[in-house]
Amino acid sequence: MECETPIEGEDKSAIKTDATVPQSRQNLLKWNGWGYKDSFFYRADDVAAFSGNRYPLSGHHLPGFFQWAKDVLNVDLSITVPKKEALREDEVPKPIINEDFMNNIKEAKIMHSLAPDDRVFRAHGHTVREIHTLRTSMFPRIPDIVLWPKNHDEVVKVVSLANRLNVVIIPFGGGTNVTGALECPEHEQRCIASLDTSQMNRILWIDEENLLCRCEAGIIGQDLERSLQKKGFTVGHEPDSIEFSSLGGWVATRASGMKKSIYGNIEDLLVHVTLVTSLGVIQRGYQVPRVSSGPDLHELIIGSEGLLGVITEVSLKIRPLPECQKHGSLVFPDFDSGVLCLREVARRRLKPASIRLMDNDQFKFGHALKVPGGYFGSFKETMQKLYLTKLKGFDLNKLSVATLLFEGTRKEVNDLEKEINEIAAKFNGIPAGEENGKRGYLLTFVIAYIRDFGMDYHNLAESFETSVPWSKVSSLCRNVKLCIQRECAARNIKYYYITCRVTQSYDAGACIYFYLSFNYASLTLTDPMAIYEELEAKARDEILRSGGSISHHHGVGKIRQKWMPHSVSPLGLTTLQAIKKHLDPKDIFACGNLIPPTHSKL
Amino acid sequence: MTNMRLAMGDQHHPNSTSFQDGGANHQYRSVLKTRKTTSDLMWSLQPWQPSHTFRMGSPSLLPSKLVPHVLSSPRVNNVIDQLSEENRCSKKILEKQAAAMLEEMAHNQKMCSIRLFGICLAKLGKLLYRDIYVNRDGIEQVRSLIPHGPILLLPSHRSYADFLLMSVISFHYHLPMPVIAAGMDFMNMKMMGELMRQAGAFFIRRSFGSDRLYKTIFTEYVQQLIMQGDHPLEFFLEGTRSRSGKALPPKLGLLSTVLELYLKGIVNDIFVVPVHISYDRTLEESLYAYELLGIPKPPESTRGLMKALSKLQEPHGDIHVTFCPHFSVREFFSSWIDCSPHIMSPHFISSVAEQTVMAELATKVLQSQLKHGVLPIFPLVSAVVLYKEAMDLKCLTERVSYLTQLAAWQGYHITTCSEAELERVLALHSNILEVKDGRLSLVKEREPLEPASLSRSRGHVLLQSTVQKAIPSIRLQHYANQCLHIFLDPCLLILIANCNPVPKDVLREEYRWLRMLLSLEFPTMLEFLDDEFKRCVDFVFQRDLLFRDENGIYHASASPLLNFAMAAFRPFLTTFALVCHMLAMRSMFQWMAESFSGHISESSPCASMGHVYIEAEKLGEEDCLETLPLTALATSV
Repeated sequence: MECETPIEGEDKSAIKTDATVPQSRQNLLKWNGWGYKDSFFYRADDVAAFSGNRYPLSGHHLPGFFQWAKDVLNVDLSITVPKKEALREDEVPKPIINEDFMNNIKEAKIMHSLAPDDRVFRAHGHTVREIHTLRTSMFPRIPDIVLWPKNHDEVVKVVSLANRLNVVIIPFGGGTNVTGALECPEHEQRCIASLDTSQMNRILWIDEENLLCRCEAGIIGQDLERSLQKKGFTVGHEPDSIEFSSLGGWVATRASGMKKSIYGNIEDLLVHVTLVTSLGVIQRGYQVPRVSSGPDLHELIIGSEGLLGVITEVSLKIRPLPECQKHGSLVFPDFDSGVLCLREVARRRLKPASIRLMDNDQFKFGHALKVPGGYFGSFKETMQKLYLTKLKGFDLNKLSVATLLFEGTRKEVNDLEKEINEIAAKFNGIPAGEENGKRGYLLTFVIAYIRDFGMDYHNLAESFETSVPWSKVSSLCRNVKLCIQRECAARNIKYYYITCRVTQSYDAGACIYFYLSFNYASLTLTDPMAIYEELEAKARDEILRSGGSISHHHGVGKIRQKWMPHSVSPLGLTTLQAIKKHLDPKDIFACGNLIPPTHSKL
Repeated sequence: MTNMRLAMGDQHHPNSTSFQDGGANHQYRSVLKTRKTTSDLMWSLQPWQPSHTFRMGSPSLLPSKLVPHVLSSPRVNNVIDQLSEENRCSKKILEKQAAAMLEEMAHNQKMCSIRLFGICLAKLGKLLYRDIYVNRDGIEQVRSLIPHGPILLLPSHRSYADFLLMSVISFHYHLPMPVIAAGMDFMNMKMMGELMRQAGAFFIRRSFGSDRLYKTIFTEYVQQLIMQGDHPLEFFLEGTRSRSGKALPPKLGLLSTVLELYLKGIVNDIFVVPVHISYDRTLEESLYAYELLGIPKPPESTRGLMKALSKLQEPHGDIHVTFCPHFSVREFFSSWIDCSPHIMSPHFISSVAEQTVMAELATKVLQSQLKHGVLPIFPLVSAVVLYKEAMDLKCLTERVSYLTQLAAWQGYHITTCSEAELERVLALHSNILEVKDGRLSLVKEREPLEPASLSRSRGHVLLQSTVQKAIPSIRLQHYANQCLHIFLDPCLLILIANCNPVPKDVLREEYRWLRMLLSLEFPTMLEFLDDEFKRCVDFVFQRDLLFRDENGIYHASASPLLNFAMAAFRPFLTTFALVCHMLAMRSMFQWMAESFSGHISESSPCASMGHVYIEAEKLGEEDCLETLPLTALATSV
């Protein structure tokens, strides 16, 4: 096999970034849950607290949280779910070794490991089922070997070897997917190699003239931003997983960032991408802003979920850091009024960096996470509460809250804020201060830690999302909540929590993000996980029936394949399958994502 | 039988009666009891809070605010744009038209008017009826559904009295007041129209086929009523009062408009509550008989109403209102419909729903009404008399008991068949049936019809003698028809086997064919015909109505039901035969041509009824005369 070299090979100008996450992920990250080892919720007497010092909530007590958990989810703190304290290596499946491949890897001096913990760490993403499996049992099939190629050339070598020796490759970036995308197909008999891109984390060049940068695909979001910001630039791509997710992963899952209104989603940011397939490298022959050369192959690579090859290098647009950043918030009498306001903001093409609308349940949840004397002083808080409930006649059980982030010059930010406040007033919304806005975004980064905490107390929780035209936002949100209400009642589930927020605005519609949780402590369930998945599947059916999509940015992976024929039409699916077959005739990228098994055998 | 006894005099529950069907126990409570002992005024002025209702999102709008909301909707704007372009007329004019249509349509429900109505209806109810019974479990069912989604109340329609009955019951039980779809006829009544509007009626034209603006306004208004969520929507699937006493084939327009909300994914679910209302004695029994002979009904007017009310001094017995078990549209559709074609377009673009599925759903409602409703005893008495099963009291009691038992075995609810009860209903209907020395006979129509009325009859000449002979039988048929559905399936099987002993698969095929032929006469879900057949074959077998010989051939037993089957269902078949016969006659071709040439309207079946009478007299088929089923004609045409 002939290999083209990528545009930029090994060279001196590349910027080495300090990788936050070490090669041995287990040294920094939890083996059985989300995030840093030192950051977790715990019970300090009868008050919830958050450990560590990495987040605004770290080191604080949260006096309102347990009351909320008891009221809403009937959480009983006296009974915890037994879980494994540490990874038991004897439970880890024995690796299937391809001797030829091993020898060649050693010969090529590619970093690798057969250690059980290395392999388990790369066997999963962060769906609630995967975390549940880690805490209670073990995956039936995990990667047999972990490889750390150092650059594009080494990836080419590895893929070529794998193709020749019939070894399966599953690319690994930050491991933060929530679609089961990293789970190994249970019945795969070949050796499975996890290709960890984390050592490919250099910024190859920054082109200030054209506002571009090229990076290796393994770079983690926070490292990329930190390095660029040192030089006065930003990519502006901020998915909720930015602390741990990788550039290659963003491309492979078609990711979306919080500030996409200004900077764009990954498909808008990406200018060039290099993909190593089992037959060779696919890439454009130039780095240009736009090209007309038939159907855009970038569109094939973005969202390919590891099915077609390994993404090794990516060129992204960058922007100078904004002069000013400011949060804001608005309170509306109810959710539908808030939706109308967001719709109007989008209609006028006003572009705050972010505008989100939380429903009442999420607003209350946010309050439950309050730190005493923290974010806003109690005096101010009482005044605000009084104003909202008494003076404006707002019902605390109905109101919704929009949080805003503005970026730009000071004047731009102030003008925009003023204009948006005026629109809000038309829909009976009133400004509720900067601190409330900040608080809204805080939840984003701690929610996964809370999910893990809840699992200790018989609560299973997950998020799912969709995109939908503006006119169907309200009905979709309502329908999904009613659907969950009905399905829980049918299963005798008394305590559950379903909440949603509008997280992204587009010209033609919005992205809706749901949290779903239920308490199974009082239920005699043999498999609560299966019940959770049933509920989520019912919710997805209802989403589709209400005019929403299969996913906005999480992707399909393995857990949403059921809806792919409906999503892209059966012919669309076989087209995808034909492309896969052409690029990967031996099916060495056998992650099993996107295409339902019944289709992939066609 | 014991479990079917009405516990009317029961000491423990003096106001309640109960029926058991399988596991379900329907408790019927009296609505009028307390009206008779306490002040109507105080009742109507009671502090009134409806049960917690379903909330779609934003707070609901007052009726007056709903009108501009509908007029400014994308759907209405869209059609106004289209029409102004197509017809080259100004939008202003169309907007004015739209506003006028909506003004004509919209309800203006006000609690004070409902209270006023409450007093009047309570007084009137006590004047006309002995009591009104409602199944309490049905009321509680509706109450428990209300917070979960929009509700359709779909009552059977046998009388004008149906109209505000639901509102009185809702008021009595503190359920949210329904909004009611009414025909335009009522709107034109002086004062009454406005009063009904204030009681929650909204008015729709009987047909608006090509008027796109009207259709759009109608769709948006009805869907908004549902979306507002604070009132159940009540309408009559049958579209009009059934003159014959049988269920009419359902009209699907309003139903489809409502269900589009589900198909397009706007609402999560819609709950359908069929309601059955049965009357011991129908207010309009005589009017119906004349209408069926082809003499048109007088137009609705307030004066006419007052006049009619002043005449109504005779007692009319009891009313039984049954809120049948609800079903969810979501569950019903899940096995029938793929919603995906409906969700591709925006909400305001109407999508054509599968009419066959709508028809199945409507049929399910009608069947449920018939299955769960309470049938008074008089229809059985009428059938026995009409089909000349018995003409003396002793024999009558025996025959009615037998039929009651057959009905009970099949799970139908019929008021008790005691001697006292028989005596009561015979007294109630003394205008139809006379008892002299233990013998029963039909009361002759006493007042001859004015010649003016005779000449008003449409399409044919009615003879005074025809009227006098036919009216009493048609009146009686109105009641007998109310029980025919109960015996339809067993009787058809008996008739088939009696005509020609057949193996089971032929029996099934012939049964299917007959049910399909009669599908406009009796609500039929084609999908479930085979299940019906199985159920029914088992039933007639268990009851020895049919037997199988050693060759697997089915024969009809010499059962008491055989005669009944012949008398009750042969007329339907005779009608079809007759129509075919007439089609072959030259003189009829002209009439057929007229009918086909464009106006098979409401009047034409009536007109044809007269024709058939005349023709039948010529043919000497007088036996059939009294029992010719009206709608069978329409079907066969």
